Amino acid sequence: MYIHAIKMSESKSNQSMRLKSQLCFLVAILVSAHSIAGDLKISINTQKNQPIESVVVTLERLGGIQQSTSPAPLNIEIKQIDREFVPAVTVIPVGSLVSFPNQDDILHHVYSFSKAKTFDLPLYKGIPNEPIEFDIAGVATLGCNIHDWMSAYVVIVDTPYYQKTNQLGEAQLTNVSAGEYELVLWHPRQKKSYRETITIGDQSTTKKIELRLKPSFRSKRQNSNSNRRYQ
Amino acid sequence: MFITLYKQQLRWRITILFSALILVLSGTTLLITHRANIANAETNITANLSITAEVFRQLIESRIQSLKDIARPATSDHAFRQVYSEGHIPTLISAMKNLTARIKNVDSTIMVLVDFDNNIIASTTSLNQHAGQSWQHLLLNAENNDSLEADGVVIINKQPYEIIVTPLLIPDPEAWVLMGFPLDQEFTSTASRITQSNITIFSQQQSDVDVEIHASTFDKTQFDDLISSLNDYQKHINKIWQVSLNRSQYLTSILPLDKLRPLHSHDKQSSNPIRTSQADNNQASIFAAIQGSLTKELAPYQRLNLILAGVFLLGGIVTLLATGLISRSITKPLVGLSRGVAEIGTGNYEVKVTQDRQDEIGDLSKSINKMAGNLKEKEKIRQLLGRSVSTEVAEELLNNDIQVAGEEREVTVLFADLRGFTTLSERLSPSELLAFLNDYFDCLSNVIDQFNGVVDKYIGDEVMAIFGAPVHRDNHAELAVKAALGMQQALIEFRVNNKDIWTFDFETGIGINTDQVVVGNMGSKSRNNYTVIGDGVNLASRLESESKNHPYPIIASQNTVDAAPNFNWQALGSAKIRGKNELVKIYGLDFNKS
Repeated sequence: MYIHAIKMSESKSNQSMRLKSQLCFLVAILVSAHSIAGDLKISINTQKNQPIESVVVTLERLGGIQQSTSPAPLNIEIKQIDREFVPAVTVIPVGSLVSFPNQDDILHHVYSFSKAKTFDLPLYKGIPNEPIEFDIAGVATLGCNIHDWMSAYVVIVDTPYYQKTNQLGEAQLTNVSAGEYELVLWHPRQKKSYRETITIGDQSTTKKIELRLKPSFRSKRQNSNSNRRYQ
Repeated sequence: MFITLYKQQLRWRITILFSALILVLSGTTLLITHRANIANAETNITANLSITAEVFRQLIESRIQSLKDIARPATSDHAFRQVYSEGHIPTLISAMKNLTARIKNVDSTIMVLVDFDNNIIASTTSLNQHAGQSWQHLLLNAENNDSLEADGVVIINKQPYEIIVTPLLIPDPEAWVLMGFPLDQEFTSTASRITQSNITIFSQQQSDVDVEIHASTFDKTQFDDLISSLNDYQKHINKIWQVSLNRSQYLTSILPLDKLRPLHSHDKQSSNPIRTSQADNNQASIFAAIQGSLTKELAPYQRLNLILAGVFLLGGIVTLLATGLISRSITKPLVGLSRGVAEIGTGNYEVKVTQDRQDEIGDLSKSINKMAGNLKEKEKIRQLLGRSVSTEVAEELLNNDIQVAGEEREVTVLFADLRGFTTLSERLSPSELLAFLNDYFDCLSNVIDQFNGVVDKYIGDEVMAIFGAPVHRDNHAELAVKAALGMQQALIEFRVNNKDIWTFDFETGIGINTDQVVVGNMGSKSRNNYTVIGDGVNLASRLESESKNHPYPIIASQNTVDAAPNFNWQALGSAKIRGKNELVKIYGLDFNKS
């Protein structure tokens, strides 16, 4: 069911992102000279207190307050190494360009049928001619048409405050303009979408969150002892 | 009539007994064989049903595998994914129909695509709006499995389907793909052809009384019987039970189709989510009834039983005839023997029962002939004995009722002597003398017999008789005295009757003594006779001699007079008797005055 949940969150966040980015633009013009900023330290664990890596943490501005800054688009790479996408989870601002270099000595066929971004890179080797622009906020699930087990997720955000948890399950959002935000967490295996209203002041805020995950499903990989990439 | 024959004729008894014995043995053998055959047939069918159940499972598994082999590649097929992502439903249905057409030999495969909320996206067959509820539990089951797959039997549009559920991967699961084949007439016929058993697919809603038959290899005319027998199925799950259909017996095994495959071991949500979810949905329970014909299995045994019965019947008839003949061969000579023995019983000892046989009957006939010979001999002896003793005594002697061993006993001994014999022997020729003596002794002997005496011997013209032995008589002295008187009387009549033949006159002197003597058989082993010895015998002989000196023809001793006092005894004083030192008192008896 989590796929459905993801889709739901995608569509909601797409709408709200657009609205919020417009509002933020107006607010930024009005109050740009007087910003107060704080940090958010977040630690995410399972119910068994195991750290969860690769959780995308975003803060979306609430209450009609102008977004301090628009997220700057990036140019990044999602590589194919040893028949896996590296990294498996990528978070990028809207409008970022992603290239998919194939570092294996075999061909890959990268695709996405997600609503956030549908594209198809038929069999290729090396670096494709053009990077793919992810211009709509949401989640794009990537696959390889040759290798069923290969999957990757590109989370496209419309906020400057985003981060991905490290191996310790920790992420830190720095220099966040004070105000009211919606804390949104996303992980490929999360059971249901996580949204929480949070207020950022001039102090550092620390938060510890317990996220419920469901068992991983992944197509069986050739010559592999493990099917699991995520916790 | 029958009982009379049975009781009276050995032949019938033997025949009936042997025939009854053969009948009982044959019947018991048939019964045991029959029971053993039924038990054997039941064992075979039970084993076959078990194999059939396994083959049935394998057939379903094989078809499930075929579905998976088609469904799994389709769920990760790029074109199919693209069509799904495009959301063009007619193209999607067309692609799904194209996939179902790849299943060989099964034309009625269905394929349904549903989203994670069990909303039908596309289907190769028209479904009613509640169809999704029937497979809801399979989706839950798949969701709880690591493989994200499940299968089970569900009823769609009143038809049981074996359904597999597998996720559509783009590359993560995006929707559920359901593929299934109907457990219909084609399926039961295929399964029946492979397993050689009758197969029926039926279900029962919790609210229904009767089971519903969805497909069966039985003829539809048998469905009413089939339904009424299968209504009891709950009592017989995991058991083999016997039902009667159209006069044929079937052993039946029930296979719960929704329990065909165990759940995956790593399923952590519920020990049996299928059953739980079925209960929640009030899903009908679906079963396969696998039935083996006991009647068909027993057919060769029935033929064997018929042959056995025929053999036993023939054996019975042969036994009846043989027993009849054998018993007749026994009883027929027995009838002859019986007639011969009856003839012997009438005293005809000349009859011969001839059986030219070497067996027991031959021995019996020889024994009977020997017995007849012995009886004849005995009769001859009896007749000879009868000449010297009375018939009564002779009979008693032959019957061995009399002790003839030596013993001391009181008897009365009588001597009768023909006086003037010397003169007589000079007057008569030898033959005349012998004829006279025979007539004379005959006369005396008859009287002795009359008074139960025994002629001990004839000594020339003298006769010696014993009273009180060998047959004991209390009144032996009285009998002897009466015999003496009778002799004198008889001789008077003898003289009168034979005066024309025997013109001469003669007298007879009689001596009687009662005393203790030794009685018994005396002589050699080969030749002996019953007699008495002792002084008493001598005294009787002397008394007879003494009668010549007195006018009395009968002289008795004191002992005899004491023992038989009721006679007109005349004391004759004491006499000197030869061989006796003392004088002996003697008494005379005149028969004319007694």
